[in-house]
Amino acid sequence: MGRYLAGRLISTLIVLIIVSFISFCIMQMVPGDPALVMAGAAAPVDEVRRIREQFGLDQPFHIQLLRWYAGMLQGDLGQSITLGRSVVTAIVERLPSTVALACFAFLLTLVFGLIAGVAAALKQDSWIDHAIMTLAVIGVSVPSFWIGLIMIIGFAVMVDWLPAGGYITIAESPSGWFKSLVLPSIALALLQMGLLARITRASMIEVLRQDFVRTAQAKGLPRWVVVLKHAFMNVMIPVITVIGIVFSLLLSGSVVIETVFSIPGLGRLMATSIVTRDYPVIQGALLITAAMFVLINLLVDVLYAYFDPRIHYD
Amino acid sequence: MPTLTPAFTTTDALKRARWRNSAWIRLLRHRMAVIGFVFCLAALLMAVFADALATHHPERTRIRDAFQAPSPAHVLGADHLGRDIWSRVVYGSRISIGIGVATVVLTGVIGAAFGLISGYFRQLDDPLMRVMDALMAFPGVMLAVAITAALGPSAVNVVIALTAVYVPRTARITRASVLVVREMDYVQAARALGAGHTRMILRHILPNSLGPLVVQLTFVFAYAVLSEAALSFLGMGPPPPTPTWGNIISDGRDYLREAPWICLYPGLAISVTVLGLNLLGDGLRDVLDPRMKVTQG
Amino acid sequence: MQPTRILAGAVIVTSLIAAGPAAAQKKGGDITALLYAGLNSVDPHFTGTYPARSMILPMYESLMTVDENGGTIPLLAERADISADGLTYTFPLRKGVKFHNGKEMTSADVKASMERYAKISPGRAAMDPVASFEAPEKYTFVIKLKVPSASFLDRLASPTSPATIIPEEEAAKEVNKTGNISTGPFQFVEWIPDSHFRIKRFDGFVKRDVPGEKMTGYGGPKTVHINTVTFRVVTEASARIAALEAGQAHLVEDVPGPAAERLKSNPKIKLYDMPTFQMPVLYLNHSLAPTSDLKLRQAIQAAIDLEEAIGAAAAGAPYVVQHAWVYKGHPMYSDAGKALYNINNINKAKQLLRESSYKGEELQLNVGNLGFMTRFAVIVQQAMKGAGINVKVNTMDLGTLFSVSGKDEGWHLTTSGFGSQPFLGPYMYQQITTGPANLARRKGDATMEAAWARFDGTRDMAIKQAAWNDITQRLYDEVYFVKLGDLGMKYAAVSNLAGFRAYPGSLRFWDAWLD
Repeated sequence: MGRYLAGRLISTLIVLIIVSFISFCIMQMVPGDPALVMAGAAAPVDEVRRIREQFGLDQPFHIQLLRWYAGMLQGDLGQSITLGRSVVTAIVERLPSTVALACFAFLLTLVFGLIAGVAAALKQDSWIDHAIMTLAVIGVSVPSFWIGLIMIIGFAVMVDWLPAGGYITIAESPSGWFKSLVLPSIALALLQMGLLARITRASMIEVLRQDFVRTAQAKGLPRWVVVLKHAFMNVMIPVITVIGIVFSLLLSGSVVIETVFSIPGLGRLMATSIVTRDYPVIQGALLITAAMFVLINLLVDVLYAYFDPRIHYD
Repeated sequence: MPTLTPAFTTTDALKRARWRNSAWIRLLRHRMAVIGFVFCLAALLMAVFADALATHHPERTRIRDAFQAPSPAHVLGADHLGRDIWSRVVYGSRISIGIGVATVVLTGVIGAAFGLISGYFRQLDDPLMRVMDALMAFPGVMLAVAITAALGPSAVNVVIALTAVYVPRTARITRASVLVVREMDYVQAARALGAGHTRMILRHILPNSLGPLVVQLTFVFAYAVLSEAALSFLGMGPPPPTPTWGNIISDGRDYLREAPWICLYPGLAISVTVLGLNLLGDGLRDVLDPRMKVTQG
Repeated sequence: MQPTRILAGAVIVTSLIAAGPAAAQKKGGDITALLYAGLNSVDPHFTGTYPARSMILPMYESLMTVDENGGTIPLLAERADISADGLTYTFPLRKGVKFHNGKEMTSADVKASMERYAKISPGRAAMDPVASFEAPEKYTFVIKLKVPSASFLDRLASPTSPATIIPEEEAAKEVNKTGNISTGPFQFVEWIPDSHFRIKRFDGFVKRDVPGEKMTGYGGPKTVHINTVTFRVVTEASARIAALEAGQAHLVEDVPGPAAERLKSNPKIKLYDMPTFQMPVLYLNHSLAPTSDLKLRQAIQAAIDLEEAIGAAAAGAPYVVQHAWVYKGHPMYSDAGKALYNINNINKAKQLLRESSYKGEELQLNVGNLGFMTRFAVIVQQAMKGAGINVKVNTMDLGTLFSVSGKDEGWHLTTSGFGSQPFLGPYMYQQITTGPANLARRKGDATMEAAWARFDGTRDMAIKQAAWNDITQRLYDEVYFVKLGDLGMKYAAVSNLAGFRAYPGSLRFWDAWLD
């Protein structure tokens, strides 16, 4: 176990180094002079030279790369061109709403995805199974921002229960905060729910077919006991593997969902930064989300190790 | 004589029932896959025969017709500039399908190449996979959006961005098959007979790794259509006045309540196309490897 | 004193409350207003955009300001006395005016504020003629000019980048480090970027007490009845409207035409029409080939169906197809330039194109990501394509758009809207034609400069009119800009919001109350 963990830690570090390299390359990809493009987005006084100096854009590639890594290690990801604050500050300010949104969406995904998948697997080939799987595949096929727009009209206007957008901090009003996150969470979770349902069902079916389950059933144990004790725990392994992907998809989805619902989070920060060509923020947001993903995966692998006894003997 | 007969009979009956069930599933899945194929074909035909199917020029504006509800003059209604929605959706399919095809081809070739090299050459496996892991760490839309922001909004750059996002996933799938195929007897035999690396890869390993690759690429197509729509919606797709399903929805979002047809039909087009691709992918997976776990959407 | 400008029709609100000022104004209530864009800075001397004005101007006041029709009036100053040689402006200040922190405003504060403004504000070019700012007595402030300037006082009063007055101690602080303290009827509560901006009634507000003065523009006596105003930025128009209908907001700006139609029948909602809010325009780059070729510019001018273009920009909002650079009803309105407006003749355009040196190069049309700009850009692009001109549309955010357009390269055509220029009057066009802003990137135009010299050098209205006609004609002859027309805007609010009057400058929440 210890050796396994050490190995994973080293891989994680290598991946993080590559991740930061890729993030750094974003600004390098801009055709022409990135300083000119960014100066366009700066405050009224144009300062191409100042920006070039600030970002060291006239330096050779390897010097710029070193500056980037050095800054990163000190927790400095540069200054936002348009927001008048450091990139890290800009991101941290916007994390709470995205985290709240992602957590709600994740909970919805887990609850509905797992229940739907398990139910479909247990009632395999019945109408319940087909209905659930049809809904799941539709959920995976529909663009989330489109559903979001439709939900705004349906729920906010026709029925008047929930706000049509905007975000209320929990400090201001807990009930307002909750209500402002309901619709976006659902729109965001739709894709993941469908995905999780499909994966859970397939894993569940696979596990249910296996000998030890049939043995347990043959032994006369009630079905639900079998399901809970044996099948479920084994299903959790591939499901946990997928958690990282779900997290990644949630963040991806947040870019459009936060735009549609006017939520001031990381996703919307990304969406507005690409329009204003605020490259420092774009790079910083990419780096931070990727780093979070890598660390979550590391965590998942550690959990995985607990669930799967085979790893212990490596 | 051991009295095992009753038990065997029960098991036989169980087995037969299972077989009938699984054949039944096969048929149903098959039916779903056929439906999926039909949807995909419809989208493809729409893209190819856009000129014949459209009723108006997709970019022709006519303020007098602005916000017209669906009518004989405009089958699916008109947008805020009086442009025909049906024609725009029809031509929009060219972009969505076109970008999808280009992405799939590029992703397939590059991803398979990486996967083959990685699976076949042990020494290159680790470093290559670390790079793939790093690329996969970025949420897909975020990476695509950052790349198009850097390169500039255009159809070509969207393809580049989406390829960068999906190559790692494809490489992984290919690599997994390669690892399995590589150990098979006939492959070992070919190596024993002195086949060179290129020959090994191209003639023996690749053909047998194609199954999962094809399934994966179908899903990549589906994701590409969805991602392109999101990118266009955010303003990072091909610039106006080119119609894409994503930017038609984006144009129409100010008038959602009063002129819902502007957003409704392109959204349906996306959903149906992606649904078709997903169903087709499911069916292909069943045919090519019914035992394969669902590790991707 | 400056002659008052009457722009009849410019700001007439078509749905004033029938009850009138005699109805009882209720105190209290919290208003939520939804804007389509936010701001990045709350520094009092750093604002320049329309949404920023809505959020900031309720808190700040300046020496001079504009009235309901864009004319110049005193606010913190009692009046403005100009010396005979036009070089000394003396402003007796109102006494007993309190800042939000309780301190009384004196000339030391005014001097410090003006100096800071002249240093960092986006509008500081207006202070170029200034030789010095002086504070000889506690309640007297003096500005000395290097050269006489007929429009100096108007520029000082302009709300586009307002010269707001803050305490001396605050003026010593760097950009974005000030504490939002001024003399306005509202005071700052909090700003959570991307979430909301909140202001509340300033109970210590000292209003102008000149008998006979009424609420006008940003001046006059201002009485605040409501408790707080919270501004939220909701970029999705559908979401803004939906929030209003659901009772989650009290006022919403930029209501799209179809939504306004639908809301007409809703008894809980009242619509406000501003018939003239801005003039959508295209600038052309005179410094970059091929638009440096006059014939090509004329071809572009001839190719566009302006009625179609402004109709597209409007998307249901009110609009007027007219050629002048001031609104109808302005004293300087004339027929100058009319012959070259809305030519709308593709064949003429093609002919002009043949006469030009155009060889099929791709023109860059930079478009801001505001709805009306993207909409009319489509029409413009199509028209140009129809005439045989190759155009590429680049959509970008406003900050980038304006910065790129301030350079000689990178663009051939830029979309924009003139809001303050037609509202405040002809003098505003000088900065953008021969002045530092130079939107068309024109390198010298003797005819234009001479006309401006005539306009600026006199108070004689006849001479000014003739000069303005020449300027207008020159704008059309040389195709500096292509004007689409006059565009209005609609607001929607809850019907129990009384006393509110729409104003092209920004939203105003004083003298309004919730019934």
